[in-house]
Amino acid sequence: MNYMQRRFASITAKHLEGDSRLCLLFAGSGIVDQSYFDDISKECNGRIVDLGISEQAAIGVAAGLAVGGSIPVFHTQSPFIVERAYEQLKLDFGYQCLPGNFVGLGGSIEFTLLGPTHNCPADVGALKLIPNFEIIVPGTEDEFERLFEARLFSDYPTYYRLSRDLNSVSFDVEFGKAEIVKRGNHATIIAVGPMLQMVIEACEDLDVTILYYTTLAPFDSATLRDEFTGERLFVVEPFYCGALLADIASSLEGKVYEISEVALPIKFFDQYGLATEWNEPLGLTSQALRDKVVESIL
Amino acid sequence: MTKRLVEQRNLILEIVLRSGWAGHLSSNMSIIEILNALYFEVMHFEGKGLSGRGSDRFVLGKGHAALALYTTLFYKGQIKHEDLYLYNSRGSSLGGHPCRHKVPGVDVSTGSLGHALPIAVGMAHSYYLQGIKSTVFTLLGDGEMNEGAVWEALLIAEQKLQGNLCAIVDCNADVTKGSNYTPALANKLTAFGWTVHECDGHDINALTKTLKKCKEGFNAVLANTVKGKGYPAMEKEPEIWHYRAVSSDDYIALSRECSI
Repeated sequence: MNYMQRRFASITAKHLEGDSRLCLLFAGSGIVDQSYFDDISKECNGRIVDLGISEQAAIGVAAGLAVGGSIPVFHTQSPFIVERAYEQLKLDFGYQCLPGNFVGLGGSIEFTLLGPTHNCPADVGALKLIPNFEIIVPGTEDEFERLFEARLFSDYPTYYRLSRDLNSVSFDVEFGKAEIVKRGNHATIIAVGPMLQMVIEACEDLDVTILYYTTLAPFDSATLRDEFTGERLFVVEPFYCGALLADIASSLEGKVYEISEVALPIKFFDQYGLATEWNEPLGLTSQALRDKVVESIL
Repeated sequence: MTKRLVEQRNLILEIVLRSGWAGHLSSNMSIIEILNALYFEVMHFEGKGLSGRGSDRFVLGKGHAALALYTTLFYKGQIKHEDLYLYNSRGSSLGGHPCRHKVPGVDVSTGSLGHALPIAVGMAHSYYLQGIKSTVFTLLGDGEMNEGAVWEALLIAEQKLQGNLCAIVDCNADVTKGSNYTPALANKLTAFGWTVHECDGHDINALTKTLKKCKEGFNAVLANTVKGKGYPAMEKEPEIWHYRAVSSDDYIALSRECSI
């Protein structure tokens, strides 16, 4: 288990013991460690279930649990939540606006060694197109805990993107609200989730505004609109480029600015190896980001 | 009851005629008896309305047969008569497929085939966890049984979950007339661990007797029906009447010949 996943497991175990409405569902993925819950599985009889490698029906079952008054938490690898069962997320949860919690492991290319079938850099972009769906991308375990606790029992479907890479500093993040990390004059940088570490390393001493987003849907337009400075906007995000452009465009309507995304290009990452081996070729390093920002504001 | 079954069919035609919109006519006609058996003879309701705690529940898998459901809910006092004729109009609560946000008595919005059974399985398990004895009934089309998610749900229910669920299959397909269908359903469902029953889907007494036996555990009922039942013209060419509008001449000709 990675650190954020371990925090998810401990919070969920606590709530499973404390609230009989909660149901934890898995979908037969060997990579997702279920043994954490072995001690409480007997006590939570019928509420911790591995539904097998049947993601579409599994998410349908989760919706049915919600209709019946239970609160589902569905945990497996991100591509098998978002892409395999997209219509179930769209109709069973989004259209019906049912409460549900979808905790995805291995977003982006965290499992790049397993190839494109097990990667999910499109998760945020795809879920952005389902009305009512909330999207949370925390940067640390503490931030995950704050946001998960905030939305676990909400009336909406929520996707939480677990990250292996973590920031070294946590913020007291609030659901639906961006954090103002620092204010400056020459450019605005949106840092999403675990990308904040890189952004701070790159731009700490630069005269720029850094806004930190851990909730991507609903998107905090007000903070972006109110804090936008300079005429350059950088969006630093751990998924396919383009996912936030509609929100940014509507937030900054009427303003004139240049925009650069530091993100994954839309392609299949089929070279295996480690995800970190992609950082340099994709410009996802603090030095590359700093060079880009400095060049633009000089 | 027989008079009402004819009246309900003609009411569906009248809704389509007066609203000016097309409807899935022949698909609606094959499930009229099934819905009447469920809502008037078999399902148990508690409290006010149809969704009180402890009530049995119904999920229409073949959501395109919405008119059959709407007219049944009208007869149960859930929908006003005048609202029926707003079918498909902008702002109406009654669209081409049922919506849980808009129609009283509808717990699940359906329309895309294959979604209902997994949801019904989840509902049944939720009631089991809460100690609520409700039975969830769901009605699928035999063409809908092509969907992979249906078979995933059948497996999941039998292997992993608990509750009271009855999946009714509206077996109205006639392959010679071009219908979608799934062959050897009884064998397949039995192999998946479900208790399978079969009956005449247009015999209220047979339906009632069979469905009352299916209130506990995971049961499947294969209801043998005729697509377009009640109208000889629809029964003869069910696929031509699958989705179309109704003219005044159509209404006069069809309603004259309606019989059960």
